[in-house]
Amino acid sequence: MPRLPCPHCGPRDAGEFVLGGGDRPHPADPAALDDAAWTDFVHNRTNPEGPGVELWYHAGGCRRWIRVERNTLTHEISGAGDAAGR
Amino acid sequence: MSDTSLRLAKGGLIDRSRPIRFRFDGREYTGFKGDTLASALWANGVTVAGTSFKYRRPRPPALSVDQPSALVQVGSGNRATPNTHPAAVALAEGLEAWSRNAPPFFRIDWAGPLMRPGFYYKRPFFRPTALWPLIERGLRWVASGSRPPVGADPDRYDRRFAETEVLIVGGGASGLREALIAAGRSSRVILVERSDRLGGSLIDAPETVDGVPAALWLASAEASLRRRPNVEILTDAVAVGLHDRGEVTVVERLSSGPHAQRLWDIQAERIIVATGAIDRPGVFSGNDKPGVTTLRAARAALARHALTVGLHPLIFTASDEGHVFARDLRNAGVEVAAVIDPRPAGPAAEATAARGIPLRVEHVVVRVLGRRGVRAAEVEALATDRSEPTRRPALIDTDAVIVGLGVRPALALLSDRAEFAWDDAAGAPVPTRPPERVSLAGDAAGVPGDDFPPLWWSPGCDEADAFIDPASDVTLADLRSSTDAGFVSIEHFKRWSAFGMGPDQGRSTAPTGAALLAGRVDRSPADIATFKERPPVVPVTVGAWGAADPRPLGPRRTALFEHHRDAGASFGVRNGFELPLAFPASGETVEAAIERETTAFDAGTVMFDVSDHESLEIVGPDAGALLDFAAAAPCSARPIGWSGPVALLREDGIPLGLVSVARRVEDRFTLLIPPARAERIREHIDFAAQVRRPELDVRTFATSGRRVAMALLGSAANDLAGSCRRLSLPGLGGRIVEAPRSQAIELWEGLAARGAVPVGAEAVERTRIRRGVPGTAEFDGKASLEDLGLGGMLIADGRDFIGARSTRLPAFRAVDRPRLVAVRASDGSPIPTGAVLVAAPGTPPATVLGHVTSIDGSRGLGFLRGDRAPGERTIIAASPALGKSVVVEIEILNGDSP
Repeated sequence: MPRLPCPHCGPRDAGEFVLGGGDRPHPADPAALDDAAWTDFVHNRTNPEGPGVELWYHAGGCRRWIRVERNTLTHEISGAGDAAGR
Repeated sequence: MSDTSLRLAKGGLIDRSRPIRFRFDGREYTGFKGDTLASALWANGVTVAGTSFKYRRPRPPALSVDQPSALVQVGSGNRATPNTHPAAVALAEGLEAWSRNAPPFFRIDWAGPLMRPGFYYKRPFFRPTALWPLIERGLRWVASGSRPPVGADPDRYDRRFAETEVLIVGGGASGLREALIAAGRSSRVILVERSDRLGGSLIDAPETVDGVPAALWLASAEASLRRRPNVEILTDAVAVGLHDRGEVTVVERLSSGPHAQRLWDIQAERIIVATGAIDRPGVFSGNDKPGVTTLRAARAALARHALTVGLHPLIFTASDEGHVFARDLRNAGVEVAAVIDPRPAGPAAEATAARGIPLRVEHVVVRVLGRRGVRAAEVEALATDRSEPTRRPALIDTDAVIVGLGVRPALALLSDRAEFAWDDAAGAPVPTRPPERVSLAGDAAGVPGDDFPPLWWSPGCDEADAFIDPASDVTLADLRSSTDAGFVSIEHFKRWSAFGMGPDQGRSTAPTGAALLAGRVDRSPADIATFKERPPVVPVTVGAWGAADPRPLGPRRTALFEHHRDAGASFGVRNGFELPLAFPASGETVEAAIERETTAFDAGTVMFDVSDHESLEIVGPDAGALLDFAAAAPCSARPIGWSGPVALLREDGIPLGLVSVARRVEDRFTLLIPPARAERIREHIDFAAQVRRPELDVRTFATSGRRVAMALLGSAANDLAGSCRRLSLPGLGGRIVEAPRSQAIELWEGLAARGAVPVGAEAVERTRIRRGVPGTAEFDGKASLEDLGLGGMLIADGRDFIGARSTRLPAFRAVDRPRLVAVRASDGSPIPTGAVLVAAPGTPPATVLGHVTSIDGSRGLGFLRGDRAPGERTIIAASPALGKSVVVEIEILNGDSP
């Protein structure tokens, strides 16, 4: 099983984590978006190939959300940090 | 041992002091410790173990797992394993196996003309289609005769995870050499060998290694590896899949201990594939007959099982290894009928001739004669341009044909993970670049060949019974039928003829098929891609995969489990917890108890154990602000001491479920979360706190397991509970009483003494359905709070909270959204499981208006689409799977009274 470098627990099996999807900026003011723009944000993903940042939840460990730098093409993991910066 | 036995009087690695009795097709035989089922059958003269699936030709129990074979049924009842390769079965005392023979009537050879290649694509396969279920039964009966296991699997399976610096697949000479090197560098090493012992070709074709006799080198290498603490050796273990980032799945067969098999998940930094080589088949008339064997299979049988495939075998070889084996056979006392070599004379052939073994060079075997075995072989001269010979076959008496026309790397494990390109030197596709972390060693990395181009078929043979793929009964004539139909792609040939669709995924035959197809359509084999094998590369029983059970420790229990058990409760597993379903009094049936407890809900005060709910504390100056943002109702405005149910929405506006919230003190909220959604809801709250609003000064932690919680419902609930929290089952009302785990029994008994009736999970569920309260099945990820009749729980007061923006989308206000309804069978009969709601009457196809989600006898809950008032039309709850339907009355639920 691949391993994720949890900043709090160290390298752990990916099975301990829940994937929360790619990290992307949340609209600062959702009310300012029209229905089409908001629906696009909620439902559509770009699914990029190559390096990217993902959110993972260490449900089987420290219960912290972490940001993981992962290359979706090679599965290379180049870094990870706590989502809230703690 | 009689003179006609294929088992030699001495030699081999079998333990002749340990005879093993086994049964095949009802007859008792004896083999030895160290035999496979295949070798033991041959030793007993059983050289036919079934018929081929299409042409009904007799087929042998192949001696090598790399060779297509008659598959057998092993074991019966709850231990039955169908479709097993007999060379993959270790002989064990009392083993029972059966051939998969079709009924005797079908043994006559009439199926062939009916089942021409592509027959299932041609016009009237079988009409009318209404007869299909019947025809399918007949075809299955004819096709295999194998039986699946009946009942629960009594075997246990193990699962193990391992990490290693070096994983070596293959315990032959190359694998051992790599293991010694890696072990010498103090790396952590795991070595996986598919047979029951290390050695590979060091056992089968003993020569010298580094100037030392092979047996001596092997013993010393094995002893050296077994001494090292950093080396783990797995035998009877097959690497069945290679995955991303150096992950390899290995299935290990265990002959002792509590487990039947062990599934390994090995994470390796480096993987060395030393899986050796596999024989190239010979394509000539009758090449599928029992007695036609590959050189490697025959070598292994002689060296390991003291078995010869014939008493006077013929060797058809295009490699020097075949000449060496002729010598080995003679040394073992077996008379070799002849050695046939398509190559011009060379030193190896001269050595054979010098030993007095009949020899023909520049000749090929074109036909094997015999009905259920080999009687004789016809050989022809091979023209230098390999054109059709001029019909002057010579007949040689023999009882077996050993085919050694060269080998190619065995790379099944890599097939799915690398790009392959045809390599003329290898006569097979080879990886253009090994996958990440993988390197090849030994024969798997490339087999030293000579200048003689591979002999893909014997010119002059009869195409009708020259098999390219015996596993799926595909002949040269079938290839001609495919090219005649205009197909030039191997994928089309595969689908037209079933080529390579056998249980070995075409392993032994795919390159041969590609080369022959290329020759027929005037292309280079490089232009004919071969298809890939997919993991698992060998069949794996479901039980071994089942070892991946994520809950090996069984269901969880609440603190009151023993107390409930001693009270005679009937238990069941709900959401991973073993909970009391009912509390039958002495002499009372479970069903009567459930009915009594359900009635108690309406009559007085009931209590039930909700300690399976997750208890989550949200603490900090911003605890209220976090809940305002994570939940659909503002909690920060609530006074200290308040409690009530609150909905949580996903970003798309759909509720995750309801939780019970209580405000204990200014900066502390307690959540009680129903177990079915507990993990998802904790993830949601932590996402809100850590990802969306990291600036909030708040933290969350669970106290589940440290406290017990009881729900109290009914007239006296408030009196009994004092000022405790409300239960998170909106519509049911009620209070929750909590206590430290150590006071669980005291609390439970105290409440019971004051008149609360203990009820189980079944009565709670029935009451919920009867009162129209949505549960886990109704929070289905599609229904909005409005759809569920819980619109009042959405309090949009202008604040930003997760899901707020989505609930203002027009889709949430569409008039034809499915709404939660109560359904009740008009005639009081049970509502069938899996029912959809359709309008009646009408002509088919009926329009599906909704479906039923929860059932309690003749009552249930479900979703119904449409804006028409109930009563305007008749609705039927129909279960297509059960073929049952019942007319139902509908009541729209908009209770909205949390």
